[in-house]
Amino acid sequence: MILRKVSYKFSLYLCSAFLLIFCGIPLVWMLFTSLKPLGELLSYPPKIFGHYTLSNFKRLFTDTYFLIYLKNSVIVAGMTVILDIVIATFGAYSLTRYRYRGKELLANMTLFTYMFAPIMIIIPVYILLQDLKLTNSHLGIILAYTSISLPFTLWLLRAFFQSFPAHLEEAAFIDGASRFQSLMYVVIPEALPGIIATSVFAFVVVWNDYLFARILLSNPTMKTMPVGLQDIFESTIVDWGLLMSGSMIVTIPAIIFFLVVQRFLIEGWGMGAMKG
Amino acid sequence: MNRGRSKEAFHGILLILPTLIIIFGFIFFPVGYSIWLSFTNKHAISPTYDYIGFANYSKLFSENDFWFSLWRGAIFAAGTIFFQIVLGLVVALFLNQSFRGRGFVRGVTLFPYMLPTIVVILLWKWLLSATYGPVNFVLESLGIIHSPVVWLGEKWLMASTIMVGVWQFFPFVVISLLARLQTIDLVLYEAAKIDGANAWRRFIHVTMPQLQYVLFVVILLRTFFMFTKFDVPWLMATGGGLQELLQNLPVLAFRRTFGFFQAGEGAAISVILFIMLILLAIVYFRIYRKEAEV
Amino acid sequence: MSEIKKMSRRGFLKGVTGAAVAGMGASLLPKGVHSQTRSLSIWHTEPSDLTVKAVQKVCDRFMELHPGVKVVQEGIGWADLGPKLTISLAAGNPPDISHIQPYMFRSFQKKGFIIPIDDVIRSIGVDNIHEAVRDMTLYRNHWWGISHEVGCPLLMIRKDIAEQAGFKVPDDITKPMFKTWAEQIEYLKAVTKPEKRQWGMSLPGTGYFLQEHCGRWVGGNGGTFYDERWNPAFHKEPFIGVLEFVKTLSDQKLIPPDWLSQSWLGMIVEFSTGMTTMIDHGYGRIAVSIAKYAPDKASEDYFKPIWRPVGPLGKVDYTDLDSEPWVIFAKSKNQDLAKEWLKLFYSRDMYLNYIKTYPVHMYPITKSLANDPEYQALPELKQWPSWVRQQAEYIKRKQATPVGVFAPAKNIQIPFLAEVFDSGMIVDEIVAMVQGRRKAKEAAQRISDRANDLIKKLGYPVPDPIRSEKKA
Repeated sequence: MILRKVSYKFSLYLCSAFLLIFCGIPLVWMLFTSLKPLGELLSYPPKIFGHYTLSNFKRLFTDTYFLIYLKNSVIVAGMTVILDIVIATFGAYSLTRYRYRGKELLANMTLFTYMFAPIMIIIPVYILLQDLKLTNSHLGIILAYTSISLPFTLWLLRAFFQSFPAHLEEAAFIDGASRFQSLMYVVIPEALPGIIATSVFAFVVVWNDYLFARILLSNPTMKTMPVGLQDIFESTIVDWGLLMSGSMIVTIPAIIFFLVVQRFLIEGWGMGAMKG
Repeated sequence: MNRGRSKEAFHGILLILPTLIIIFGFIFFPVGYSIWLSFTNKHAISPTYDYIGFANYSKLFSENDFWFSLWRGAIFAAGTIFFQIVLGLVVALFLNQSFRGRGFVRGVTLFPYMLPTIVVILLWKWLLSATYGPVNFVLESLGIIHSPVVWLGEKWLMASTIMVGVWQFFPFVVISLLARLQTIDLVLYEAAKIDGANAWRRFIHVTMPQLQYVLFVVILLRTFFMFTKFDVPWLMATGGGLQELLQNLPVLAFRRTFGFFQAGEGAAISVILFIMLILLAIVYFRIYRKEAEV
Repeated sequence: MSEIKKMSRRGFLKGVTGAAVAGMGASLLPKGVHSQTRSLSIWHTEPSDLTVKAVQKVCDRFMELHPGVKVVQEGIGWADLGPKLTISLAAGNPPDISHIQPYMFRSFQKKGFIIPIDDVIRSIGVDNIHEAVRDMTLYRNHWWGISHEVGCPLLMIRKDIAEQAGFKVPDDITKPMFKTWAEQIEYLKAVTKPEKRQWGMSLPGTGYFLQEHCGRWVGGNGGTFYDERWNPAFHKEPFIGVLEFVKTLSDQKLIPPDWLSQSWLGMIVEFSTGMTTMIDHGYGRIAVSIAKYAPDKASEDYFKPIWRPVGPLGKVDYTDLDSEPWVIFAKSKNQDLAKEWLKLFYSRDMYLNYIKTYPVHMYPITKSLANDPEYQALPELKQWPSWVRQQAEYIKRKQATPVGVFAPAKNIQIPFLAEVFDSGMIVDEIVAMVQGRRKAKEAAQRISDRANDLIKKLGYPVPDPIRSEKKA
């Protein structure tokens, strides 16, 4: 009995170690490299001990427009997440609580939008945004990103709403609440974990994207961070110090966003019976 | 209820309208355009074109390059999907247990997904470099290998790329599965324990059925995403000499459109990929329905 | 109570739809309604912040001189600018001014995308521009573009390593260190020490750059990519010789093991940090990399250019002109303003400010600036004098031919260069050969065959595509 407990704990810690190494070591490497001076960065064998300096970070902030790119990414990602959640919540609510023709068809079609490779639609999307005079604008690219994140978030929220027992809403209706109030005050709080999960997905879609940002944005002050990093990297002839320090900074908002979100994923389970 | 049926339907449609506008505008219209384009011989920048029927398709099907790219794309997709799911499932189950430091381990596990692809690729290309990468150094120091392995060379490039694809995206699987795992009613486990089921049987008879639907959708989505991935295979080989080894259909479409300037051909490749994924999805649905019936 | 609730629901839904409609409507408003300003959009291939600032200075000055005009610039690396330009042309909405690659010029000109800019050239001074550079875009007595600068990739060597290995590096930069490729290979064998992580030469795996190397080398081997009738000439002896040269370098392991996945930037870093002792693509930009990664070796005692050897069948060696021409698009609504902008760009102070951002790489196209004492006093030129002098020498001797065109320079008139070059088919076959899947001769033949297929598909007569020119 004790042996089983010990081996159970042991395997838990083994798994933890594996995950920390597999996922975390590259992060640690990035951190160390961002703190090394350029002359020592590429030395082989790789040295862990040596000089450490904040010069890469300093150069990142003073010599490049990196902070502007980061700001743009945060704004675009934030707006996309908000727009996406609002539209998807309404849409999911509509698909699960109303009846009208074509509902089933719509519900099933949403995920199939991912069968189209982004590289396939970039030219027509560009043409479309150009006709709407939305190229080179944050609004235009937010719409484009929303279209990519929407299908999955819609599906996810629909699954959550579906598993949400109707009788809780019934109780609210009996109390005299309108559909809208029921949505706002009963359904959404219950579905919060799902909403959080979808916001993670939408955030990453934007945070990660290179292709759309590169093609649809032209103004240097509008660039988002992946495009900006690539340009910094190329234009400084491979300044690994800048790249690594930039990457470190880039992970910070993502980690913060995620840590905040993570707590919600854990809470909310106390709400009890969410049957599959 | 005094609500008129039609009024209610109207409100329902109103709520779904924004979704429809966006998806129709940004997805269906471009896709329609691509399909139309695939029947022409349009040059990427010339405004003139002719309708050539299925000529693009027959040319592609007769080209070795096309089938080779299809094959390489399938290897990349199958490799990444398989490991993303397996690793993702195991890790999700693991992170569902409670232990000290779980929050921290969760955070670290999800970190790869937060990095932009460009950073991921540059980072791994450096780590795996045969001339100055630390991975070889560590492996040699530990005695696991005796001479530097060219991870980014001909022999290992696909394996390395699959590893990078798994590293970056398996957290997606973890998040999706973990969210579902956390909502499985603990009562079910208690009942199974009382019936004398051990951990493995609890997994098979309680966890898996509850997880089935989410797992199915995750596999479906990962399939779509890994077959249509452009930036990972492209950036790992940067369109250079070894790109052929990593050339999946999206990369081929890119090269045909922007290199050969054959927009019609590029569109045809994308349409072929799309049809392939429809067929795959049908197969998945069939399998899922069979499993679900059992 | 229920009244209020009903209102709030209806009101909310009305509000949402109203906002959506208004939003769509606002974005659909034609621009002209509220903007009387004229605008210029300028795209170029210099993403470096330093250079972007220099271009911005021109834009700012232009906006001072022309109130009411808005000028926006964007600097992206060619790998991205190419597709982006393609997409914008496909959408019928190109920028006003852009850099293009020399090998695309005829393709654009033939399709009527760009306009001639003779008056710009004349205002700078027809005799003031180096001939080879000026006439790069000369076609039917018009000039269609003007290069922003001109740089030539040089063959560079680590002088200290060469001398340590017992080789003498000539002081006269016009004298080759090796007369032939064979001698060069012998040298590389002597200095390749994989156990010390030192390889002979850097080679880029990236398609564009590897093809560029081959273009230089085929010229140095007495050959061309296309013959006088515009037929692909890859299957001829000189190009086969180039392939065999690459194969030797690869088989004898004189180049780093993962060269095939090495980018051009990585290659520069390799050379700067001493992982390789030679680079055929010695851009002036390497000076930046050296300053970063090997600041203690930043002088010509360590990094020196040498004159190129020739191949077994060649007599004269070639390098290429890396110089993207500015072009003005026919769709531009402000062609006159665009021309004025270009004239301003080349004015002495503005141009000097631009060239100053990378003086070793950016050789000015105007003789007036090249001879200008302030230019010649730039510190980087003092640090790397041979680099600049050798580039000037190649240009003077007309042994520098436009990138993607290669020798002979008049091949720039061929209108399908862009499609064949950008397709990457040359690199595909090189890789197949290097991996042992094909012999050099077969690979060369396949390139010619595939090129002919593409040329035919583009609507030109095969063989002898030059026949399509008779009509114009």
